[in-house]
Amino acid sequence: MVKLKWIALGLLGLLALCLGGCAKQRADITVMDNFIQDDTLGECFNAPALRFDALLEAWKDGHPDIELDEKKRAGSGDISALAVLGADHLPDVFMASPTLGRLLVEKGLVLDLSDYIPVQERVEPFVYGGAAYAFPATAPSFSVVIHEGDFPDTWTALYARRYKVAWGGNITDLLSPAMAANGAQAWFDHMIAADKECTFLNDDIMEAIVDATEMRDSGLLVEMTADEAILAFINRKYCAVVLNEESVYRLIDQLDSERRKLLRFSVFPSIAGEKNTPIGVPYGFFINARLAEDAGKLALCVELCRHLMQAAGADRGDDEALERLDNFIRQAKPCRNCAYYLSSEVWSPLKNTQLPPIETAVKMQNCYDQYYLGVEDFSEQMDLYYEEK
Amino acid sequence: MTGSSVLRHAKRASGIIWFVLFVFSYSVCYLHNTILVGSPQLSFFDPYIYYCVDLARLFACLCLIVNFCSQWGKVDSKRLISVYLFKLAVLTGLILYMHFGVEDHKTPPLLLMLFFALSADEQDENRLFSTGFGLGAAYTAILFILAMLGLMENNRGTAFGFQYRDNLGCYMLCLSLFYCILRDGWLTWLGELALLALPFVCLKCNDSKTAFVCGLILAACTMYRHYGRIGGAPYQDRDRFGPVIPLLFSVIYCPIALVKGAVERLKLRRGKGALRFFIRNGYILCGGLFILATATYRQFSPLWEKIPGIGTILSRFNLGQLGFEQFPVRWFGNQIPQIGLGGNEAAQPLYFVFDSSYIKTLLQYGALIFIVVIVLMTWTQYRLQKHHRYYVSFLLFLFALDSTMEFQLTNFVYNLFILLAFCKYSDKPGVEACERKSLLPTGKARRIALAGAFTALLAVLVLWCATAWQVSNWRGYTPHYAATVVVPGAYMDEVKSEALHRPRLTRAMRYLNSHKDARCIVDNEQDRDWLVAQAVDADRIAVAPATSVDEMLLNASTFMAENDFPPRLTVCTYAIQQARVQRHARALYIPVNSLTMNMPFGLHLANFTAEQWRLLWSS
Repeated sequence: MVKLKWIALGLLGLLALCLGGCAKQRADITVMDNFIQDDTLGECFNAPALRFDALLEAWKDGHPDIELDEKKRAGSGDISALAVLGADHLPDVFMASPTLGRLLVEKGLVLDLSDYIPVQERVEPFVYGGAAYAFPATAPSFSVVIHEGDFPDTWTALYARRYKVAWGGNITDLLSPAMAANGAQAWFDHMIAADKECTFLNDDIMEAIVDATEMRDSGLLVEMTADEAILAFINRKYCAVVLNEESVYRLIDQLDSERRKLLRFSVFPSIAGEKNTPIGVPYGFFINARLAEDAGKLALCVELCRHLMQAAGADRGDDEALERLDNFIRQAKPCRNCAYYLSSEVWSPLKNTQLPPIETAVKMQNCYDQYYLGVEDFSEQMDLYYEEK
Repeated sequence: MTGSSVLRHAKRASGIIWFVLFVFSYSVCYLHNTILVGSPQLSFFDPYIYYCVDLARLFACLCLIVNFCSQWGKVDSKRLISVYLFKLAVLTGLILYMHFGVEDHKTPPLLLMLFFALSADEQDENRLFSTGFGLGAAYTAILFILAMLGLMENNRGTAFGFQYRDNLGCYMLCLSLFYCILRDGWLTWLGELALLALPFVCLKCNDSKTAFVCGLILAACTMYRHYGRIGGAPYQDRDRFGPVIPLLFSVIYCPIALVKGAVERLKLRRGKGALRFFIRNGYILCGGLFILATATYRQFSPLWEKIPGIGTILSRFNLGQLGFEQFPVRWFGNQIPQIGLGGNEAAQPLYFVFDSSYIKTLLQYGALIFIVVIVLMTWTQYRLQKHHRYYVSFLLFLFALDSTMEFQLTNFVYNLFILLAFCKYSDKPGVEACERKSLLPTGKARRIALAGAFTALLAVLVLWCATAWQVSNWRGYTPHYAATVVVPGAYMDEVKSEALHRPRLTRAMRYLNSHKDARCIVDNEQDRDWLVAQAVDADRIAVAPATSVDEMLLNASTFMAENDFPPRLTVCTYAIQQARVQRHARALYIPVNSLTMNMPFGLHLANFTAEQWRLLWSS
């Protein structure tokens, strides 16, 4: 009986804890960022997050009468999860990718900031239908091959040497260079510029998708998580590794100065021969659509966004490898990293390893149509493909 | 007719009606849990679940009165009154919940579960679990066959009629728990092997990691108990079991023997009391700890991030935490819009679902239901241990563990365990029965049937594995695979696009260069010359003049046979043509093309089998 009493008390305590936690009042302004901070790593990796913290503190010092509730280091998944619940549940200011931003715009959950962002300051991925929706929060991302000086620079050479590369990215890292090499980027740009108008079947993009799938299926790229790829490179299990921006800095941070000196950066060669570096887009600061009703608060949020934008230029430190990386990125022949323009349903067919290239291309094309044309039911298009009409 | 005989008849009638209603409700809830929910063919069936709830509510009240009257005078009246007051309070709470609580399509199975649990006094445990297990196994087998034949949606290839494949994994775990309760853990040698294989099926086919872990613990502990009871590995009598089974079981039981030895040596049995306490309060502990972990979880914190392989738990913590931040804990729950992935895990960019039963119950159904469910489950545990049913109590603990990650605690189809709170416990077969059952006299007909069933199972498994291997390894454009590549020049005339000429040949050239065993068929000399100019050996290229793509494709198989080209076909054109090729290929039974088609698995299997026979015959 005594035990039961303690259990009942414990349960009540737990409930009280939950109830207490949930009864919190909303602050004047709520902010949510998703910079990643890893205390086990150094300045090279954590610089943007630390700079963001410093900027936020400075802003709070300058506005002592405003209560700022910050949910720092939230994952991007948080925003998409809260979006399900509606604008009342989203923070006032938050970071999101352009892809998610587009979806939030469609659902009317974020504010049109065209009146607050001059035309010359607008960043392309956050402009939907001619209106600007976000301030850039991070530097554009990229995807590179890191090696120590021995990396074949053509697909044929890679193939001939059976050169295995640890691959800690995703298929869109391959798709972007393939699209650029096959001339599909022009089609892709046109499609975005025309805003939801695209050619139904395009051979360039088919070719690019087939190339990317073929590269993935070649066995030369050994697919693993970014962390595993980093570890494999550090332990010299692989001589080269394909990583995206965040993982590149994570890797550099974990290497000693001697190994850093050896680091070289390259483009992953596409089958079609051209060397394009996939350059992505920044994350942006969006403002909750709810603030349209409160001009004063909106002005404060815009000011806050402008202030926090400086975090993108955080100094990652003075290092030979970092300098080499900066030069590489500056001189790179950029191609759009289409991952940022496509929601998950568009590029997920590419992840399905059981699909052959052509079928992947067909599915991908359907997803494009679904995404850009807003076609909900694409059975008609499928009928066209399979000529069952 | 005397009062007592009226009561006896009422008790008997209510028992029968209860059971019929139970079977019907369980079937309806099962359908409600599959992909058939909301489908046009079965939408007429949907309202039945609400009829079931209404009937169960009325009938639960009636059953309570009849059961109370029939038990009056037979048991301690104070205890009886307190138990029935508790039940009445719960029932009132549920009826209040039906009026004030939030409602979604998952609420009826929860309410049914609780109504049946409260009114199950006169029901026999074995009958309930054999019915649950029988219905569940039969329905799952039917769904499996329908999905294999392509008559039913098979999400992600291995959901077999369930909405999500991990739901099926969970359900298979629950079915094995039902069976273990039915047999009280004393399984035949075949049962033990199946119990051991099940977690791996859950992991490989259904990607259900929690079911895998719980299934492994279940198998290990069931075998440990068996080992402890008979003082060694079971089924060791070579005269009775033949040479293979004793050897197999000695190997399987090796780790169990080691653990047993370690337990004895370290005198760990002294902690039995504490372990029982832990198991008894498993639902409070699992629920409490999971909620606490969710409340204190911080994303990107090194503490959590450094633990490998717990990404799924972290995502549950994260969503749970968002839930706690956004919604207060209310007595009657919150209307929380939840968006899942719709079964295919790719179509929904926005995702918000509480998978953990504890978080879901507390936030969505409210504190009232949370307390009722936890109290009832803990009550069940206490009652089981009071009746010395420690093994079953342990099985319920495994269910508590599984519920931290999955939703099934409040679902009638999965949680039949709550019926043990008040139902009559049955006698169980002892350890001797399982060895005896393993040695049922096998007549000739029985032996033939068993051998046939085993052969069929083996054939299906071999075909399945072979097809899976073929699907993943025999794709076009992979270095391990060589095919005859067809380059129809007529395609450009058909689509009226000269721009395709070069890329089409470039693709063929690349393919031929990277696949040394590959061969090529073109329909004009110019294309062959172009390929030869690109360093492709002329003897690897055949010219088959054709005026249309269809004609070329139809002639391709004859050409391949005549020139001893690889008997698999791939084509250098684009999507529309590829689709046409696949249709032709299907008629020709060319495996690579049949496998690249987006067709149901059953058809796939039939195609593959036909192809194997054709190859076997021709060789």
